[in-house]
Amino acid sequence: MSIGKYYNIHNLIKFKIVSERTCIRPLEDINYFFSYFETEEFTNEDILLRIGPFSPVNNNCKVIDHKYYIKENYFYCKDQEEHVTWEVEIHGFEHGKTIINFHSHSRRVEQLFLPEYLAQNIILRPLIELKLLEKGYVVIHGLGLARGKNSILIAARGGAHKTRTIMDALKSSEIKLVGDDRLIIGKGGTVYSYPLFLRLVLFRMEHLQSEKISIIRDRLSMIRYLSQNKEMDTKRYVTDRSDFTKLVFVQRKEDCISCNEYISKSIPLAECCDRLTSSSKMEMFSSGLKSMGFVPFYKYIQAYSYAFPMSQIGNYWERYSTTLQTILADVSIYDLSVPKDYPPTLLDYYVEMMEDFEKPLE
Amino acid sequence: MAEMYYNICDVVKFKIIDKQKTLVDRIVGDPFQEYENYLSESILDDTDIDFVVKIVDRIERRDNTYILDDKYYIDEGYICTKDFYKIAKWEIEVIKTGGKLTVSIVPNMAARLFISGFFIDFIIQYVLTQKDYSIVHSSAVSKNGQSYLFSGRGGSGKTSIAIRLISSNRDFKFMGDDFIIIKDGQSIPYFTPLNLFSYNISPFLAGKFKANQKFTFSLKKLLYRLTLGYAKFFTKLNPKHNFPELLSIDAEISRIFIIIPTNQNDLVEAKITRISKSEVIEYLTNNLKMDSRYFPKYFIQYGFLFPNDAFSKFWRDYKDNLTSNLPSGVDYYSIELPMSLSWTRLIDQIERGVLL
Repeated sequence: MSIGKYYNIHNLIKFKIVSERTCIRPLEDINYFFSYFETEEFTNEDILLRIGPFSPVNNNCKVIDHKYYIKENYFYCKDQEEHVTWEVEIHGFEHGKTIINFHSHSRRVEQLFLPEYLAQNIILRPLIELKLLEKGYVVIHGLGLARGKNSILIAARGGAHKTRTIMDALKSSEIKLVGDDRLIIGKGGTVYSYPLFLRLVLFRMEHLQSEKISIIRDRLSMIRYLSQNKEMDTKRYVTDRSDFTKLVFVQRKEDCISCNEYISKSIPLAECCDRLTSSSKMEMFSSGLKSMGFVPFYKYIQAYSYAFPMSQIGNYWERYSTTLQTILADVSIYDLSVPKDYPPTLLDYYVEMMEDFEKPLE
Repeated sequence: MAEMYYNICDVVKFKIIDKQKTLVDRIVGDPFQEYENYLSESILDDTDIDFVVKIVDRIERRDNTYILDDKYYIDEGYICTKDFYKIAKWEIEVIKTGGKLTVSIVPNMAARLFISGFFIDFIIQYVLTQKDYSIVHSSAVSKNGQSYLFSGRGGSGKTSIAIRLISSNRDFKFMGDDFIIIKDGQSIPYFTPLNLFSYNISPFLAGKFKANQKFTFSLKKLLYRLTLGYAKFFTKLNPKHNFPELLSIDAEISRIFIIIPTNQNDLVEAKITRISKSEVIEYLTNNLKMDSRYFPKYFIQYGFLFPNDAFSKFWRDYKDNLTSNLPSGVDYYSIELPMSLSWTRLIDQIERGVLL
C-alpha cells in the first residue's frame, strides 16, 4: 500500500510524493523538509516522486562512465555512497512534467526512514531548484529576515552563524523568517519563503542546549518531536512574500574580533552573481548524508551535460548566473566579515541594515 | 627525503618532495610513476619551477584566514582543508605566490595512491592553462604530421582505438592514451604509462610486455580473482620503454573524435555525426571537469570569496584557451558507439568514411 502527499510552493511549483508504507507509522509522518508546503490533494503536479522498487526504461541510452544512462530528457543510474545504495530514474529531467522513481537500500537501521529522506535530500531538492530556474526563479543559499514587507538576504557558506541568527530571530516578535537555508528569489527583488529546517530549529531551541545534535537520545527525541508536532503552526514565524533591496555576503574570519563595529563594503553585481553561483555549486557538491563527500546531483548534472552539452541542463550554471544578474540588477550588495565566535549583536546589525534604506552603508 | 624534478616539454616544470618510500609503494608502484618520462636528470632552478608538491607529516595552517563550512581555511592565494574519498584521507594546503604554487599534502596510506590522479594531474592542467596551453582527456595517433584525437570518458575505448591503429601496420604513430597537450592547432604528445588490466589488453600490448611485466600482470589478475575484485592493481606499460619505435612527435590537428558509448546494442554500426567546434569545446571541458573532483571543488569554495582570482576563473580560462588553440578549419565528430560493437568494425567504419 502506498500513501501520497501533496506540496505546493507558493504556486510556483507543485509536487507529489508517493511512497510505500513502512511498518513504523510515526516515521512515515516525519516530514523532513517540505512540511511547510504540504497541502490538500491536487492533480496537476510539476514533479511526481515515487519511492519504492521500479523497473527502469533505460534502453537506447548514452552510457557515461559505465554508470549514467542518459537520453534526451531522461536520466537513470545506480549509485552508492558508503553503506547506502540507490537507484534513480528521472523522466522529464529537462522539461515538461518530471517523474522521479527512487529506490534505496542501506544495511543500517536508518533504512527505516532513509528512503524518503534520501530521495528528498539528494534528488528532489536540487530538482526543484532546476525546475524553478526554468520558470525564472533562482534558489540561492542563504538566510532571509523580514520586517513587515521588507527583507534582507544573507548569503553565506556554512559556519557564518546562520543558525544562531535564526534562533535569535525566532525569539523576537517583530522579525520573521523568509528562509533558513535556501531562498527563492524572482524578478523585481521579490523573495518567497522557503523554510526547510524550521521545525528542526524550533526543536533545538526547545530541547537542546547546544547547536549540535550529537547523542542518540537527542536524535530519538528529535524524531518524536518532528512526527508529533506536524500540525504545529509554523506560519507565524514566516513571511511568505516580501521585497528585498539589500543582499549581504557574510563570512567568518578568524582574526575578526570586533563584535560591535561591523564594517561592510559594497561589491559589484557581476562579482555577486559569481559568488552566489559558487555557493550554489558547493551546496550541490558538499555533504548531504553526513558521511557523504559529495551530493551526487552535481555529478548527475555533469553527466547529462557531457551527454548533451548544448541542452538546457548543459547550460544550467550559465543560466543560473545570468538569471541572477537580471533579478539582482537593482539590489544593493554588501560584504561583511564576522568574528569566529557568535557576536550577540549580529541580528541587530542585520535589522539595522534592513531598515536603513536611505542611508547607504560604508 | 627525496627531491625529484620534472620537466614536461619545457612548458611545465615542477618538483616533488617526498618522504621515505613506503611498503605500499613497493607493492602497488611509485605514486609518481605517472610522470616518470618527464623526470629531469638535472636539478632545475627554483625560479623556473611552476609548482612544488610536498608530501609532509603535518601542515602548519596559516592564522587569521576566512573559515567556510567550518573546514575550509581560505585567504587570498591560500586554501587549506581536510578531505576524504572512501578510506583515503588527506589534508592539503595550497599557497600561491607570484603565480607559483606550493602544495603540501598530508595523505594517509590510501590517499598516497591517489596523489597524482587527484592532485598533481590537475595542478599540471592548471599551470598549462595559465600558460595559454590546452590539455584534453584524449588519446591520439599521428600520420604524416597530421594527428587524430580520440576523446572520451574512462573506459570508452580511447586507449583501445589508439593501440589498434598503431599496431595495424599503417604507419600510425602513438601520441598518448590519456592526455594530449594542445597549442595553436598543434597536438603535443604526453606519454604516461598505460594502465593495463585483463579487459583492455590487446595481443599487441601483451607482446610488448617484458618478462617480469608478464609475470606481475598474471599475479595481479590472480589477486583480483582471489579478493573477489577488491584488489584491482593495474600493470603499467610505458610506451617509451615498451614500444619506443612507434612514438610520434608534435603534429597538426586533423580530426577530433568524441566517443560516447551507448547501449543501443541492436545497431550494427556506430553513429558518426559531424559536430561544431563549440560543441567539441563543451565535450572536452565537461570531460575534464568530470575527471578532476577535488581541486575544482576547492576552487569553487575559494570562488565564494575571491571570484576574480585565476583559481576561480579556471574553467573559463580553460574554455577560452580551447577556443584559440583548436583549429577552425578541421572536422570534429561525435561517435555514438554501441558497446557491443568491436573495435575492428569501428575502425573499418571510420576508414570507410575516409575519416582517417
